[in-house]
Amino acid sequence: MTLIGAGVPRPDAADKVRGEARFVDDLAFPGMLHARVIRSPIPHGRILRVDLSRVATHPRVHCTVTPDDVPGENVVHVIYDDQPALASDVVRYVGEPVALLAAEDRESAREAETLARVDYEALPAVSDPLEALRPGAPVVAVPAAAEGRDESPNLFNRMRLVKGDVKRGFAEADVIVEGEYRTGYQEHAYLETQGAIAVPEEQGAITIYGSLQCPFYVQGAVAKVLGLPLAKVRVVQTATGGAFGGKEDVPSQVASLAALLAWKARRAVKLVYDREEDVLTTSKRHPSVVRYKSGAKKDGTLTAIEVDFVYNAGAYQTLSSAVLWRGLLTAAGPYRVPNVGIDGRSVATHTVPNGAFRGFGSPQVIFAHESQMDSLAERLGMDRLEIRRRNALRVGDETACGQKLKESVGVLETIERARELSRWEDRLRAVAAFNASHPHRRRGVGVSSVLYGVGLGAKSPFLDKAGAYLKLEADGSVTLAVGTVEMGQGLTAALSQIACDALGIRIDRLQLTPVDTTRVPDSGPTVASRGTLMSGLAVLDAVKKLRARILDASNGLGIPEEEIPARLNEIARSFFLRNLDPAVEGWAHAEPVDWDPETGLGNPYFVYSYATHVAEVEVDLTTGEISLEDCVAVHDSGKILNQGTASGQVEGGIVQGLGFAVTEEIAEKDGRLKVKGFTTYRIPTIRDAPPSPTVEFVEALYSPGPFGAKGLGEVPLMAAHAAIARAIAHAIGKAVSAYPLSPERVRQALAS
Amino acid sequence: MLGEFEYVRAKTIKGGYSLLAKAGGEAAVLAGGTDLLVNIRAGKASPRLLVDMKGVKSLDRLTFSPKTGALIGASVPLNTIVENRGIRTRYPGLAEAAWTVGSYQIRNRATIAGNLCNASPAADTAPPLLVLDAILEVASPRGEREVPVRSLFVDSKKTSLSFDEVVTAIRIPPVPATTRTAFLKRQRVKGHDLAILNVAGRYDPATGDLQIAIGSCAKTPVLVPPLGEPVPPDAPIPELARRLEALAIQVVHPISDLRATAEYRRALLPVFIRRLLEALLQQSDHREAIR
Repeated sequence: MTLIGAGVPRPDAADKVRGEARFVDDLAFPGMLHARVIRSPIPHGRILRVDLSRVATHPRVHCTVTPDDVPGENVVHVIYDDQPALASDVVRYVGEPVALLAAEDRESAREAETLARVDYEALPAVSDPLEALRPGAPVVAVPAAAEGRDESPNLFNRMRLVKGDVKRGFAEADVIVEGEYRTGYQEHAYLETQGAIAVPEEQGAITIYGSLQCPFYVQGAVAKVLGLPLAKVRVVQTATGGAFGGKEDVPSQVASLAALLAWKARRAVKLVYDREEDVLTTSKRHPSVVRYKSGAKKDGTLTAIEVDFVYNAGAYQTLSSAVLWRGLLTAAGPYRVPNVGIDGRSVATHTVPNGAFRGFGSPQVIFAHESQMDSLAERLGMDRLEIRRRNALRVGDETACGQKLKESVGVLETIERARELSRWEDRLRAVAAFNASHPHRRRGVGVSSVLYGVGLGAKSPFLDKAGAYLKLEADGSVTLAVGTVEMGQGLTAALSQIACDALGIRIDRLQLTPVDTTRVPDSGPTVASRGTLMSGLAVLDAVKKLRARILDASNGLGIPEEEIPARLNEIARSFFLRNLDPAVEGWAHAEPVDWDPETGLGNPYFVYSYATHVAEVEVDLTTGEISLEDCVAVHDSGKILNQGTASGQVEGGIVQGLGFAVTEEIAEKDGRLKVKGFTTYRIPTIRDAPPSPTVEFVEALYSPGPFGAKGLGEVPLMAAHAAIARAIAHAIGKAVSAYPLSPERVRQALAS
Repeated sequence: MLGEFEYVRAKTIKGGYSLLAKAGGEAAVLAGGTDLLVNIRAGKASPRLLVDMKGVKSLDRLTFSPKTGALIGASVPLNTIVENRGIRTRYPGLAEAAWTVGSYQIRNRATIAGNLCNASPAADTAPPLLVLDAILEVASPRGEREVPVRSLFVDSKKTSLSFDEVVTAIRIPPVPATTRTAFLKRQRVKGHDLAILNVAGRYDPATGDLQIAIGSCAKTPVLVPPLGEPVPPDAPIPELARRLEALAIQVVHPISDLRATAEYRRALLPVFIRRLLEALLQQSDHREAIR
């Protein structure tokens, strides 16, 4: 029996389909209060006076909280501690929390919120990152958080990667292409909005129940803001209705605010954002400007790249330094480039802090590097797949940052398989024939190849670890606890499969417990496509230890090894009767990584995943309408543990990539986001998905991974959007340089 | 979050309008509620009283005959209209428009009366009902009256109905079997979405009678002034489209909003007029142009 590969139905699916899964807003505790956040209505200003007297006298209001009530440090702890939990003197973005209230019911909380009076002295604001870098621009960043303050007070971080001799590289090139690319905001649009419940416990402890990706981040943040030892803070993840990175750092803020109220009230406090509040005040994908210069020889071989990119970080650091770092290490794409100069900056502006979003700083540079590859192909008269094939990384090659790839490099296979599955040459001919026969409809085909460094890498190597707790119950069933979360991606299925496969038991004999910081050690965040890999290894470690004990016990009972799975209940019973220890802990840590911030070179990630997507679109030249007709997605994420959930992730990534490239847009004016929930922010619907996408996995195994697995979660979106954008450019025969490629932008491009 | 309001389920039409009259403009009629409840939640409406008319049996009837036309009760959900054989065959443009309102679940609740009375410039069922000369049957303490859809819309989100009037039904006059109707809509995504532009038309090749209406392009859905002469089925479409566009721009005033810019709407107008004419005169299916 093997549970690895084809996989099992998701153990968490039935409850979710039936509506029985309990999300944070479904939970209630005795005496629970409801919180509202009083927020800044302006992008930049000095707080002159906070008058909550009318709020406090509302008959249903239990208490209010201002910065004076913060028992610990008034910060939302992420990487830099520059973001206050509650702004105390200056507000730096529209929606920044200023004060809190808790009322007996949600309606009263809402009503009381309108009674707050906060006076501000409005200050000049800057919302464009390039403007924020100009001398004399309004200062956004807290000085300690601006690592680049010697250059500009708003320069959060500047990172460079220099390899070889870029000048010489361009001198050797037969053709050089340059472009500037812009991408906008992308909102996560998870089904369930942000929410947390803080419950004060006995002995001065507190428990947080929340919709989140990173229980240990929340534990750290709440401990800091309340001034408590970590041991006094317990975090329990509730069923989480989607995250996509949006619940990486933001729940630390949500839980901190709920905790401040609960601590003062000495009662449970629920804080659940409504959709408008969530969209306006929580992190999004960093808007970007990327300038890219590429040189290649006549045969398509890359000789040099030079990249300069700027990310709009928003008012506080949150995760921007890590987002920038991944952008830096992804900018060259999955290609051999001997001479490299990359320069990235993340800049503070008076806008909502941007953070993690599937791809984490890589989609912005991918749009650029894939557009550049097509420009080179066009100038050289080469086939677009061929130029990618020629430059694709192989085992033994060195990446742009000088990392020698030892194993598990499947990008070439993804390109070759995508060519076969898409019937590339036939398709190009069919598209040309279609275009010749229609007056105003144009079809186009695009391709995109990507690499993704799995895990957190050398930016925060101390986070790439994971624990597991495995207990053999007296009836032979098994309880498993881990520290990374199910957020819709299918981790429950993957980890249950790994444990049950190794123990030889049925999937319904194992229960994965809710993630709870008291059950396992800090296992790092559930981000960076690392859940299956890291927790999978921890589970395997635990299984190995438990199996050794089971083998011992079965020997004592005279049970042959092959009968162990069938007779596990007898063995478990003997553990109970003979007072044997039936519980084990598993532990895993990633292979070592290293990176030199001076040169940008090193071995920043322990392994990479790869993908190639081919997209076909149809564009209506008269209206600019775009239709995604087909997509072929080929991925190398090492061993795929569950084909069903993996294919689902790829299909979802295609649709989310379509949204990023084509339909999703947030206009911003004077620091205000012009968006109101989903009537103004359009995510693609199921009708916008290609009718029958082709998804296939080439499995370049990663030997240290569980069964050879790497990571998959983020890669589908990363590859999809650029393939779609390039297909649009191919269809209309014009350059495209800014997302979203809305009908109006397409018409503008056509007119150019 | 919903504020406080009273809710009454009326049992008779009279009971309904009496409550509305008593509340003196502070009540709202609850039909499907798919706009009303959203507006209350967003703080855009704060009625003291909701009068639910779905308890009135006679309002959920839909009758159709080729001789008398269609009578659609005010509580009939859009999906029932979409699925009605008579509507589909005789007024396909209306069925098509009703089908594009919201999602399937929304259409199980939303009504055509509500779609009209909400008076959104983008109301999808308005353009086909305008070209079909549909009439609202309205009841109030002052008796019953008929309000042509053509005189219903006063401004964005404003109708000519008085606060104590209840729409009881929408009557669509019979049309000859030769009459063609069509509806086209441009939206941001292929799934349910509000219109950037919607157009509907009615054409009878036997008489040459042609009428078109445009939505999302002015403060209300608008009827394009008539050409003043019959249009033969083989009329050259480019020229006809130009003439209709010239008439249309007298009545439309496209604006920029979060769905599209005024320029884009203006640019779509001739395209959609032309496609509508192709659908009406040549019966080409433009819904398939973009899958």
